[in-house]
Amino acid sequence: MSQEQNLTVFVDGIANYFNSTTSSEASVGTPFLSKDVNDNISDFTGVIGISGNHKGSIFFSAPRRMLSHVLSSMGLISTKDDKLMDLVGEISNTLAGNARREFGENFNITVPITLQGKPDGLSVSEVASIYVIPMEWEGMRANLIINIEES
Amino acid sequence: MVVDDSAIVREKIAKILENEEFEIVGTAKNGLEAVEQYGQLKPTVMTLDITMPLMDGLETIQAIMDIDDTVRILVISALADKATLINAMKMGAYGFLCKPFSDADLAEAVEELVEDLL
Repeated sequence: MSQEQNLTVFVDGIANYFNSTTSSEASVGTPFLSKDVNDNISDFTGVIGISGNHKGSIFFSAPRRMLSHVLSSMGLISTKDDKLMDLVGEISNTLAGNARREFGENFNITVPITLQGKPDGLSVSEVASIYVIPMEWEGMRANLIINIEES
Repeated sequence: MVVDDSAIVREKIAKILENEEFEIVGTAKNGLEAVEQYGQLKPTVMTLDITMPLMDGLETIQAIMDIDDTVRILVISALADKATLINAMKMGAYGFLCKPFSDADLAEAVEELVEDLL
């Protein structure tokens, strides 16, 4: 499967997540290559480790305001950091898990690790390209970052 | 009974089902907790995530089936591949709902699960 096909799975996944769980649609931008994952990190980030037929990481990184609004749109009002961390982890888990529809049962995903703020020197696989899929929902922007390669 | 490692997912599922007039007898944040609480709570229906720490959903189905094979388990997971679905159903799950889901998707799935009990 080409890298472009890989990205399509995730582009569709983002749109589907927001359309299913909130009352308004998300618009997904054109994916681009980035040299440094740290340039694309926002207030809260969920990280999923990938192993099996692919290896690497998937990140979903979003600003506090967006996550609070998503929670509110789900009928769960909270601005507490632990709830926002939980949500960003759940979004990253859902987007990575849904990709098994394309990549199969050997696309193994970890439980999410969640980060707050911009950690110093977040490192990723130097072999796999870093693709950033930007998205916008209710005027707020977030990034899905794909750093995986076939094993 | 609602089993998921995400507190907001547990809260969301409970809220949707309570709006549909189901009683939530308990929640658990992983399979181990669910198995420990099961005997006391004796739920009719369990919603169960797959990717969880300590004991994942598939291991949980096996453990619960050893205790009580009459409980109706609805797997609610982001793992969207056929093999996971088939494994879960073979182990004893009654239904499978893929994340992300809408309120209506969940209500419909649980209603189907208990249709013959009502």
